[in-house]
Amino acid sequence: MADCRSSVEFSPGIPIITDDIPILSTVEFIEKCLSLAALSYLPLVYCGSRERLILCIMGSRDGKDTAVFSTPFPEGHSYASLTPLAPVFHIFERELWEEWQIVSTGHPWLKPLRYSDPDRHAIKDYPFFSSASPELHEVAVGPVHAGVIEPGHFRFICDGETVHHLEIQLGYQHRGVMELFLEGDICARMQLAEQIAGDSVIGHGMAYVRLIEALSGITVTDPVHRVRAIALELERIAMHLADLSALAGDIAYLSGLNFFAALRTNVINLCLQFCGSRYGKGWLCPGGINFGIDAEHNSYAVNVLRKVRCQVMYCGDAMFNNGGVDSRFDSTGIVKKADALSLGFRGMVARSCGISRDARAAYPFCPYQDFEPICLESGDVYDRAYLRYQEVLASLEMILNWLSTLPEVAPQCISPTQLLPNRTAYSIVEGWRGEIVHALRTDADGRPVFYRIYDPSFHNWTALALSVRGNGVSDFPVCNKSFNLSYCGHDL
Amino acid sequence: MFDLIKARLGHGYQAVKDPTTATLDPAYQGFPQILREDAEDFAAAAKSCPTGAIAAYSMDLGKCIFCGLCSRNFPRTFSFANEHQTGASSREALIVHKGLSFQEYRERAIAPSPSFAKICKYSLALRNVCAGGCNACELELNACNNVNFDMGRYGIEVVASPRHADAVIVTGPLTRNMAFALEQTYRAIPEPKVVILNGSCAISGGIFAESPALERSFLERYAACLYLPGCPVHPLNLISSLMRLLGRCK
Amino acid sequence: MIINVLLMLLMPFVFIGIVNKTKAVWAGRKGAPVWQPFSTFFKLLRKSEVQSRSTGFIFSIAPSIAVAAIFCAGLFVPFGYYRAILSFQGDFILFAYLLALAKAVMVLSAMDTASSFEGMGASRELSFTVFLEPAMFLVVASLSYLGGLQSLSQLVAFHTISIYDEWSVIIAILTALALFIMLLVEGARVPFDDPNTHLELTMVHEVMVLDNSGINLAFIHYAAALKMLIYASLISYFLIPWGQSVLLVTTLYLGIVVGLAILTGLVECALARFRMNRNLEFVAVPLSVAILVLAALVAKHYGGI
Repeated sequence: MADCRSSVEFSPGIPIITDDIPILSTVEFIEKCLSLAALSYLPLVYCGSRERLILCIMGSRDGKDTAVFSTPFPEGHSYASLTPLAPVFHIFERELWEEWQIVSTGHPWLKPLRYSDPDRHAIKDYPFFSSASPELHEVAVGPVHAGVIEPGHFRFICDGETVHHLEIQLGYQHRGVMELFLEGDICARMQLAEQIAGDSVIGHGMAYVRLIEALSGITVTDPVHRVRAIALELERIAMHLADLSALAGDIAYLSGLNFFAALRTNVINLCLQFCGSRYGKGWLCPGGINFGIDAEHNSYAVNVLRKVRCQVMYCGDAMFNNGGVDSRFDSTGIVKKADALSLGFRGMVARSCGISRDARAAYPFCPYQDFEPICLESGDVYDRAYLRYQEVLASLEMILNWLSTLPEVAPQCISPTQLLPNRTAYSIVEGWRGEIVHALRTDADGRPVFYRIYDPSFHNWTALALSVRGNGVSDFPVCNKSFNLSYCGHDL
Repeated sequence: MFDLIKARLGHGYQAVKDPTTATLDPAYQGFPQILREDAEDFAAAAKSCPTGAIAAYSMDLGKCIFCGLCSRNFPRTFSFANEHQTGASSREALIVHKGLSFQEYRERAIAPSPSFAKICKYSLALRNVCAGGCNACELELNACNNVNFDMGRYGIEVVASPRHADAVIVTGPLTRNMAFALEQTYRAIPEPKVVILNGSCAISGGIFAESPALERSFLERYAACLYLPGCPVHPLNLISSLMRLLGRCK
Repeated sequence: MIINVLLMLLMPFVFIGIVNKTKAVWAGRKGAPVWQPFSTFFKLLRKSEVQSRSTGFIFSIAPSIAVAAIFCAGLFVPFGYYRAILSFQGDFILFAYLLALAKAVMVLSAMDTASSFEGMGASRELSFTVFLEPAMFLVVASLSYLGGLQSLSQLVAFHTISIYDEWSVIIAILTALALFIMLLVEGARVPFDDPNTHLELTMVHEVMVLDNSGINLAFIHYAAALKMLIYASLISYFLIPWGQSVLLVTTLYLGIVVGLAILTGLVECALARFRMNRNLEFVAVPLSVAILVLAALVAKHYGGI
């Protein structure tokens, strides 16, 4: 068996020379992918590039080792699909097929991912999986939903009120983001990075700035790292509170709905004070930060966050001790740990069913050196909601600690101008949903060859489809909200 | 039970007293002002503007994403005032020239629509179609319904079905894959109905304007009656612009 | 008689307005004004209608039939001091079936739209009726067990609450409880259904009217509100002692109706919504309470325990 350990050291934020990436034959490539998957390595990047190479970057679960290798694909290429033996590759192979028409023979469900090319596949014509049984009925929801939410289509096959199968159709939000990154000056695409997913402005923004800084050799100072971390954690708190509020609203627990929403407003108004935007747009920039934290803002923030923490504890305890809430959340929408391991679910979804992986611990950077992820066991809606509650408290604690030792930080930015040529690099940031991966390859002039974006939703939509099986169809909104996956982060 | 009461007491009363006259934190970047017509600054700013909102001596609010790049790089030429009520009822009103003060802009930007206001003045039902939005505008639209902004107090609500609605509020740059759904939703709204464009992406495509994945012919077929610039649009901007459109406040 | 009609026309929307206002106050916000349902109603009257090609004629006429049926049912209910406009022996059967007719025609209209959601909502709605109808009949039949077969108005007068008769108090409270739960179910309130939910898959009542627009939608809003007011009036009637002065009875009536509206709002705030399959367990509660009512009446008949 080929040596599974990588021959090339490849950490996030440290670019390697593209030519150093070993090029394997198709057989060797498949063997290596499968053997690493058997060791529980997670594929971080798996994409084709215009040099006709499939690049694969796989990282170990504890983040200590990363393997990178490629294989060439000539025109009309096909290969034996990895998915039947390592289901974690299923979504990557669909993406590869859609972008490069590389057929993975034996893939159980090769269907388009984003419907980016209307000449090849039109989103209207897709034949959903259906059953001819007279006892089953189909319910179709979307793409336009009753509430204010991003578009996606859900096709249920139900027996009365029980869901037997859910097929999720995405692609409605496809805007061509990865192609837009290749236009113009790659170092000046901060605003585009912030708009990949408007609720993960800091998450995606940080992945972008860290990648650009890595490829232009810029290092930022510790205080800048801390301010960025504060921004990331503020975003996590704000979105977790929004999710708790929405989950309460879905089961008509109106107290939770209103109180958590008001708490969220307090947090994002704090963000507004720091950088002029409730979502953190314009706070970060490649090479530094556009807005610092002075003594006045620091003490105001500490004040607000202490009150928020106190109120969050009252509201959280009230909600999670409420019998009605408990009866709705408990044992609903269970994600099994075996599925999570084999399909490679990331972030909160994985942590709520017993897989303790958090990019802040696996790939730590200042100031996350001693970070311990929170992990729960049951994988149901209750655990996903409770995990959010615990993460809010943990993030509040972290921010208060950092603020207490933070000096006055002025805005500072060393603008990058030119990227290192012929390099490949990637960055991983733990956004509030899970780990966000950006990857960039430069050519001989330092211009981008590709810019890949992997939001955690890319992997986790399958978790939703599996979790609703056997549940009532009226529990679907609660399940969906407990995941709160990004439609536009998936569709790009 | 006691936790609930403690939570309720801690929550207090957090509603914004009057969203139509409320002000925002001074850090908020709202209405852009052109301080001087410097050819060099304008040329450089036009080149670096991510959405091409800066043209010869003017700024297009419909394209601006309020990122602040121009005001940081050229502070003597560009400045963003702390004014959030930037809604307008015509595309042309969104172009800002030198010397246009926010008061003047605000006065002529929104022309209340009497025929529409006659029917929907005290009860406006909105139907949201997210046609490629990044979720920020949707979160802000949802925030309009929360305890702080509470647009329900004016009778404005988001409804579950287009048949119940009076207006479609579109967010996102209008992707090709959503074109059919958007058209069908609009057709299902009974007359009288209007189109409201929420956010720079909806008005002009924003930062995605050059992408081949967009399909914006919907806007050529149906004219919008309210344009809300912003990235995302602040809830106070949305509520006050709607109220001015309905003629319920100045 | 004019007062009755006026109350039937105006009070339903005020009732809904008070429920919404209570929820807003608990949430710490201002909320829509109490007369907001009126604004929405008049706006809808001026909107046009949109109908899809797949719906039939039942869809267009159903809301009018529903409103007419519920209005006629309201004619049998005494409002406050004033007697019911219509009353004859055994009229409560007609009353119950007029309400059922309204529900049946709405269910047919929902299925006529050929939408899978509305079909699901219709089947859920009917499953509630399976438990509620016997509960309603059991309550009323129990009451007539003592009083003989009478009209609704006479039944209520016969079982009037009196502080000297402890059984009448028990019976009144139990009946009020059963009717209150029926009000929550029929009015599509939390914990059985959420009237403000924007989740198509969880709606029971709201989903049946997703396709209606314009005047028909206005009628449906009114019909739903009137049904809630009818239940509220029945409850208040059981709690007001008969034979008092006009002023006292009217004040008590209005007070209890407003109080019920506030109580409905508070119940909505305090409870989370039940899971759909557990809904049916709780919809059976009025049936159990109705059996308790019967037991109490039997005990009273035999001179107490």
